[in-house]
Amino acid sequence: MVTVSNITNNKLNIPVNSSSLPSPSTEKSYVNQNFHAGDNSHNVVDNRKYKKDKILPNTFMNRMRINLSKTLDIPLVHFPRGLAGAPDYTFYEFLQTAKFPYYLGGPILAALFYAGVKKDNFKSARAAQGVAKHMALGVGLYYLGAAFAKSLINHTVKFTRGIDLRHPYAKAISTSTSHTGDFKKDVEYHTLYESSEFTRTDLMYEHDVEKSQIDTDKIARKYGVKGDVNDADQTVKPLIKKTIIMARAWQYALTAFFVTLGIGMANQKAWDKMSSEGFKKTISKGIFGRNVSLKNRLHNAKLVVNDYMLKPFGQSFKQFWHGHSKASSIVGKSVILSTAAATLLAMSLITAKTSANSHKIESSGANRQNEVNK
Amino acid sequence: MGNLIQNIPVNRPQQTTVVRPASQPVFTPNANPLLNEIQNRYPQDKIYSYILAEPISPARTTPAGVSARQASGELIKENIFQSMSRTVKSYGDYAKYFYNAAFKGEGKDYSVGKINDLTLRAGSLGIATVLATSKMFPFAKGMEFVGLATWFASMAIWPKVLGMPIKAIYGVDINQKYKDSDGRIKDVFEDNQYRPMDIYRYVDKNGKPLTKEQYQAKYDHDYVYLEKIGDKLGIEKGIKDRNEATMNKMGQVAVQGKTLWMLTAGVMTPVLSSLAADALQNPLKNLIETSRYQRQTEDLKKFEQTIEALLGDQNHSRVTDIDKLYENLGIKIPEKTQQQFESLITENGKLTPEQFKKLNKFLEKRFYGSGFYTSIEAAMKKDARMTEPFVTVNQEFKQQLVSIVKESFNEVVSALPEDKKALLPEKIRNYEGLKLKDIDNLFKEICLDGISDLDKLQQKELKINLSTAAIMTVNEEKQGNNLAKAAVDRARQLINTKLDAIYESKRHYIVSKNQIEKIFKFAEMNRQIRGRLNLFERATIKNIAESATAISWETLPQKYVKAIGFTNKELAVLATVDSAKATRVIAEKFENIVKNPEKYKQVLQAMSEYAKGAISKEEKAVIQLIGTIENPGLLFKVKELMESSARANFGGYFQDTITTYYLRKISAVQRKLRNTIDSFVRPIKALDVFKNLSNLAERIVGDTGTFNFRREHDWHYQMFEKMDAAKARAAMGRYLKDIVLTRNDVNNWTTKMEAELPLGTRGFKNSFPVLCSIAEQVFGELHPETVAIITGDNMDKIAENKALIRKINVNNWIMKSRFLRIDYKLSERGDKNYMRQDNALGGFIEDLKNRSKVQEASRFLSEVLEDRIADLGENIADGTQRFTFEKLKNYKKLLRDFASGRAFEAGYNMNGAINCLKEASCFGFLTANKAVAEASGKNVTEFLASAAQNVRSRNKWLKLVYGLLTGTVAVSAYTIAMMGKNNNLNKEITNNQSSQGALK
Repeated sequence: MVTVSNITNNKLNIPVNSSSLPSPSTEKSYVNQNFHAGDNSHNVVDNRKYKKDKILPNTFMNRMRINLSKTLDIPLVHFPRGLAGAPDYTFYEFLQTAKFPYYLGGPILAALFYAGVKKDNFKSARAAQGVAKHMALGVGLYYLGAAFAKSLINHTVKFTRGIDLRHPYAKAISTSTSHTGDFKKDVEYHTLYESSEFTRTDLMYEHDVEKSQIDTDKIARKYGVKGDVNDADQTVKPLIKKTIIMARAWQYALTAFFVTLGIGMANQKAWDKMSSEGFKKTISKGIFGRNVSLKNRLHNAKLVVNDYMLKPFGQSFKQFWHGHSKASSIVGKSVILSTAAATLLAMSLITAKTSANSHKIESSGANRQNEVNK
Repeated sequence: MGNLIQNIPVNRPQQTTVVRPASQPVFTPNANPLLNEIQNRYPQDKIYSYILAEPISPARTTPAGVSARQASGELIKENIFQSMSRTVKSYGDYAKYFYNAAFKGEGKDYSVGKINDLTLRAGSLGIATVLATSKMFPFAKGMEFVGLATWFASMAIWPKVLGMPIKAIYGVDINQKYKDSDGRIKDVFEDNQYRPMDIYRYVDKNGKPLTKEQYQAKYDHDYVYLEKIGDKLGIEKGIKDRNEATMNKMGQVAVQGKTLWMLTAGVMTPVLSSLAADALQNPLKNLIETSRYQRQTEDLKKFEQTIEALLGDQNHSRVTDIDKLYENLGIKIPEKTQQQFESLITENGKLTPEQFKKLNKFLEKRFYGSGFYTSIEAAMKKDARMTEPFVTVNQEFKQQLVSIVKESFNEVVSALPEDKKALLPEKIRNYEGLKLKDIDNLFKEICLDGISDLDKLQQKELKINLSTAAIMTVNEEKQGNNLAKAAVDRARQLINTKLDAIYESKRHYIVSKNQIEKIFKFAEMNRQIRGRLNLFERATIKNIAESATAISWETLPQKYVKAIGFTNKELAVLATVDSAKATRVIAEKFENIVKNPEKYKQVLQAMSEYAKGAISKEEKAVIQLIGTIENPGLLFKVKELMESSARANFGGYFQDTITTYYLRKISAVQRKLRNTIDSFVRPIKALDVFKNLSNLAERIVGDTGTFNFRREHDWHYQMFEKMDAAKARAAMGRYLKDIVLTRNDVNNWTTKMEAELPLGTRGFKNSFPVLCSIAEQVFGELHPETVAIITGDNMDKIAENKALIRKINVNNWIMKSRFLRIDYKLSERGDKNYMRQDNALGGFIEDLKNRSKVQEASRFLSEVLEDRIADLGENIADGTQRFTFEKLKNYKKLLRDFASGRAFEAGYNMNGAINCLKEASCFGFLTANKAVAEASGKNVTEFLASAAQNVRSRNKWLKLVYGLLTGTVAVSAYTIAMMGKNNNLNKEITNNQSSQGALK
């Protein structure tokens, strides 16, 4: 495939079949934005936080911090840059902006639906409230279901294979390529394993950061590579690739199951019992209110979790299972059972298929001892 | 690219060959001095010989038989349908990707990413299914899938819509797809850092990809399409590297376009989806309603034919034999129910109280809400053995009697302390008890001998006599001995208690298997017929979601509101709970309408059209169920069939409940139609009242002379004592306006009247005739002017318009008679039977004699009678009502004679018939039933208020949808206008070569 860079560097834009130039050049010429013949970056103080790609400690706090910064970057960096059409805009940034409609669409649809509900008289206002509650719950449980499916696979992989698919690294972005110097974006946060083709296993070898260091031997053992091997990393790399592919495929698949389950549960009567007013009051007055003893605060917090969340959650699960009609009971049962089955299948397949035990290890000389034959 | 690679000189790595020394290391002088040096310094390494990498020809870098692939990417030009079918087809590939990735762990980032597209849709389909099954009705179910489809459609359409103006202005298609060398379809502008420029090489000026040969035949140089886009983008002509400049500018526009897409998609997807779903709502609703109605009607017709065929001979075994009826009607008891029932009964009919209770519970549950359990109870009562417990007499039972007698005495004695025991007479102390023979004798004495099962009375008889007989044997001994007396008394108590215990353990019900099976089957049959009828009702006249009725109730009142022309402000007042304010708003509106004859005509005609629509739909269904006077409908036929069957199998006791059940059903159906008619025609009548207000007021109050006379001499008119004629008329006018828009409920009327009268006057009290004359006017016939407007001059519609006018008048008449039938305290003052006095139907009955008016009059009268009969049918158990009911049915036959013209034939006693009918007009209204009297449709205020609520909620939705739509469109338009311009991230991209000569 020919790309811009080799078009410009080679003479490919000169038509092969014609002797004359397509656009005879005058004294003016186009300046390639990415071409910096007179690159003066050595004159500029490079105050980027990351000068090169760097693996980051995989702690909860760190991940949260990164998520927050990524979220803030969507309106503050990516949208402004995208709307201006930054020449160095990346696909990563596009994917980041794509999260905006994902999280906005559901609530807006719910709001539109709610706007069309009769609210003028007492009876219909009550009904409208119920509708609104179920819709808000539906939107909430939808996102919760999606998040749960992802996390389920992440934890399975982490537990069985010792690699955390969420392991972050900072990708240093060269600011010298931006020819205007405005809206600098000097870092993108990615995860090591986000691509199966360009997995950043190279960053595993960074030994300068204690916490972020990845012990490839440990991973190899987790993968079931037997014995003491001197190049465990090379052995597990194809297995990691396989893990990434399977994990992502199942994350997508399980999302479909869990969001269906979430919506199904949000639609049950169990939630009708709890009043949203009571919920708000218990939180605002009971937990964060003034003159409440710590004991009572704790008690109220327990109430909020138990009575307003766990109990209806459990009951809605039961109600979804039983259904209120023949059809809905069949659908409820099959959604629950197929979700469970898919989850088990996903876990067992990932565990079984990525194990080194299930791969033939070719022994053909000392250096190729642990090479994996797919 | 292949050529490129082959031009690079490559050195093939040489295999190091180990040269084993023959006897001793041989030093081979090497051409390379460095190597010589190494070998000299490290002699132990001399065993190896190092051979330099040997340059190889470029061709050998590629494996034999394989050549580097030519880049074969291709721009895709397709229309929306092609792109849609490509998308659908690609899901097959995605499923394959999923299989390979999830089960084998094989795939690429691209293929794994595509799985998301597949599962996203699968998940949404799952959600729609879950939501659809949670809905009760087909339309709501359908809408879930419509919502899903519109959601994905708008998700797919919005980038296309956004892309159109961008392409038109800048020539850049942000959705441009291309096929890469592997045949995968990708977005050209997916990644701004990767621009497949060469796919534009052989593309003609319209963006159509050509083969190299085709292209070269047409153009003399490459990239004409890119040049065209460059022109549109305003890239300076004739500069060097212009195509690259174009490509970069395209990149800028594409990034801007894609970001704009992401910025707006979150709003536009739901908005477009909501709009599309809304547009699809009515077609879907109508489609479902029509098909459902048709299916139900056809089914019901078939059912009716079956029943008709069965009714031919009512004594035939196919009617009387319940099993045969099941067969003929094509119904079956569900197997589970049958099994459950059979497990609850026994072959010999004996049931313990526990079992009996279970059986009853089962029957009660099975027929819950259907009313047939009452019938079953009645049927079971006929056979006493099915309702009270029995005790079987056998040898064992008698033996038990013997032993409890002895035991009782023994227990009493042994409970005494020793010293007291001695005081007892010998016969008591060593009580011998009764022998089996004595028991037999006892049975003979009390005439229970030979009875195998004792009923409750007989059980009581035995209880009294057993203890007496036991005591008799020691009667003499206890004389004068108080202790003995006490002991014997105690023994008697004990015997009774023990006998009770035996009864309790032995008690059973005798439910003849044959009989209970018959009862159950019959009830079950009716239950299933009821279910069958319910299906039809649910699709048509029942006011539950998605029935034909519910749909017209949802849409038509909104049209009334629009026809009347309320402003948004007025709608807001109407929609609130304050009905007094709402009434005031409506009154104002109506006053304005009647002032303007053109507007009056317009509103009246519009409302009439809508009313016809609402009524005719329901009427059709009602006719199918009840039929007309000439041709009774399904419900009557079912009733007849079931009555015959009940009579043959169970005699009268089951028949009564069955008759009541079906008559109630009929009257409920009739009443449903009446309520609908009442609700929809009432605004028309109200407008008519507003139009003729002064006339009506004057008719009630009287002209000045009459008023003054009445005020002085008629104590009924005392309520006006503090007013003069003009004031009274004005007050009456205001009053009429108010009550015609609100509930016709006598309490409402009374309070409203009191509000109009000066302080200190007594309202309606003592003024029943005034109340009657108000009712007479408010529920009177339509004014001729109104009639003329509704009739209109469209010849095609005159007949149906006239029918509507008749319906309005019939409705008013029925409402009036219902209203005045109220058991109201005012009417107790001797005027209880107001209608008899006035003989309101008289005029119509006189019209029967007139050949030109007979059709209209007989129709009117029969509709009124029909309604009355239906009302009475509900309380058929009441003897008087039943009598009236039967009589009115006969009068209906008389009316038929008039309608068919038989009454005008020679020899027909027309006067006799007329007199009968006059009597009927009184008869029908002798009885007052409060529930019936208050039954009516929605009043005008209620009707318009709930419509206003619907209109308003729709308006709110429209406001939000269009608000979001215009906002997003504005943002999009602005952004599109600013695209491709230089900004802080995009500088001027051309330089003067003379000044920047050093650049290259």
